[in-house]
Amino acid sequence: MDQILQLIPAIMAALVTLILFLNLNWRWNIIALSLQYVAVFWLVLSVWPTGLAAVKLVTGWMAGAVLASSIPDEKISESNLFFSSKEEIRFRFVIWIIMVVIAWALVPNVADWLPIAKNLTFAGVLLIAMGMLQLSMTTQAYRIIFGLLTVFSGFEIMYASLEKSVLVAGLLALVTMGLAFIGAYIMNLQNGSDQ
Amino acid sequence: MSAPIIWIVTPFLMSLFAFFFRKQRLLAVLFTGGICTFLAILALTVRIDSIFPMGPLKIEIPSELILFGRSLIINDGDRYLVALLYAMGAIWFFGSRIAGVNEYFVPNSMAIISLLIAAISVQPFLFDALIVEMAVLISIPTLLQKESNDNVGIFRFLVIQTLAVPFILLAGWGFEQAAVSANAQQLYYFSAILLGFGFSMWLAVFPFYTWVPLLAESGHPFVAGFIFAIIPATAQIILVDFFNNYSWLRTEPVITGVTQTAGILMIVIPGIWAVYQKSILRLFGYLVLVEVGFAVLSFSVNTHLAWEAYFSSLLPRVVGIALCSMAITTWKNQDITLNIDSLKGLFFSQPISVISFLVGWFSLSGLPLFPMFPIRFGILTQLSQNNLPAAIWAIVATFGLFFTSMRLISVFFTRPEHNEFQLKETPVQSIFLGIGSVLLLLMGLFPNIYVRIFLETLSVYKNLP
Repeated sequence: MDQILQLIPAIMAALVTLILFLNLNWRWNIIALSLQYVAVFWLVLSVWPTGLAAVKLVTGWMAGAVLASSIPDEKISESNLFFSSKEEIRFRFVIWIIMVVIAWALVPNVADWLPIAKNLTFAGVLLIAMGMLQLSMTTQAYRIIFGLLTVFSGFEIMYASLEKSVLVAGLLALVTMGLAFIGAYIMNLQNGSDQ
Repeated sequence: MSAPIIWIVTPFLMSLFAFFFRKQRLLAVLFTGGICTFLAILALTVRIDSIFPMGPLKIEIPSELILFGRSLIINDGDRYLVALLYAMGAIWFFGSRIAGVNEYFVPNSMAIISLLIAAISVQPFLFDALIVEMAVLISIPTLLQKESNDNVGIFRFLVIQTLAVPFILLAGWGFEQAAVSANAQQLYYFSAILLGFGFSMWLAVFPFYTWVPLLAESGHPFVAGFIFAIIPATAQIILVDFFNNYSWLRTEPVITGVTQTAGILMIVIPGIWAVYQKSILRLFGYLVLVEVGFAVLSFSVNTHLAWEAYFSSLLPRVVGIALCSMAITTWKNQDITLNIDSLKGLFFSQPISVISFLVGWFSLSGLPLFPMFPIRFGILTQLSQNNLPAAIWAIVATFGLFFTSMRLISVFFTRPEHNEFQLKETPVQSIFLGIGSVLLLLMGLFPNIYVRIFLETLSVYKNLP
């Protein structure tokens, strides 16, 4: 039972990477980002005290809120050319499956070097891989910020097992917020030039 | 009052204060530029950790500040680096008055300088990466231009600098664990590989170099010049600290070989690419890459002369980058297309900016009589003693830059028909560019004056040869 409970957040992290990678519309992206930080919190909870782990959740949600605040209301559920077409969704789904398999296969190799629990390693590696994939497939500001936040979430899951410093947790939270603010600033700038 | 309070905390708070009146450009420029000048002069004149007289008083500035249980330490030997960074700030802040940068440049850049000094001085070094990342994040609004939608270079810069953070943090963890681990050697190698990846991203080492020419093209050239001068310099100082603390990093043949190869690639690729480039902005980016390549090469050579050459190169590099970026900004502000083919006969309308650009370019290319020449010569002489083919490759790439220099001269000085001689630079621009050019020429003719100052910095790194 314990093992299943430990697997749930890792599976949740995998599913949210799929939603983010499919890039359906703004609403889904923001929901997926919020769930991603729930998964990060849940996973980090196994190695950090609740109070410290909650920093990840609160920061992640604040980052999501900052990004969401930069989207004009009329665009929130819009599916236009910036988002994936049906063919692209199928392609991205196949890529996601391949990445899940690769992440699963990499877990024992990573365990040789880093003393991290397997569920944390799997979720961390998958988030990093999917974030990198997002970064490599776009030049759009908001996709780049989502990609960086995903990579950073994956790293934070793995790093939480290695470093339990409160100051490092605080600085990592600042970086997450900083990325969100930069994303919001760039999107506001672009929205301003669109109008 | 301790040194970190004077040179880190106070300027950071001042940058926050300046943020509130950033729209009153002149006031913000005078305020931040004045503070930077004062801090640079202060760093050059006072002594840290020793009692010195100041009028009727006797003052002692402690080197350490404990903040959240971590130490920020600015030693007496670090004063010159601190002075260099604040002098850089003063040059760029006063220059921003005529550069047409956005309102965020002045306050954000001051915060960047104080954060980067914090990154150099923080103990344990684990926090370096996160502090540098914050500086990178703060720099993004300064690079964005409202009138431009081409932000590819800015995004590439953000992505590569951010991806460096996990590598450096994991390397830091590895170095700490290796000291108490049973398989220490394996863990040290693992950490060294991660460290190599992290620093390759920070320093734009091949294959992570693409952000430099792209950023030169996408960002405001004056701001990009500031980023090119300050971020790699800070990353290099942090790397020097690593080399100083872990002597095996300097002596391990595999690491030396990889560092040397990376340095050579960084010189050869941009040196040869520069010959075919048409955009003056990208050329500027490639020139910066060559400069970073020589710095990496001097680390890999690891002799006393090579380390001296590295520290001697800090000041002329900053002035060279400042001159080139200022000259390009002058052209950009006059809506001149920054393509080499469009710059024909530019000397006859913009003589001072063209001469200044060429002085900066020649210096960074390492042409004789300019300040970088003896430094490059020293590094290549040292390199040729243990790796002659690498030295030959570096010389070939340097010839690529010389060839580009000749190409630039032929473009700038080709006089189109019916073109009368004009002076389109404003008096303030002319003064800035003139002072920079004279300074660089003087540094080339009398190198002993500034070299002696920066060599004292080397005394902080006691384990280096």
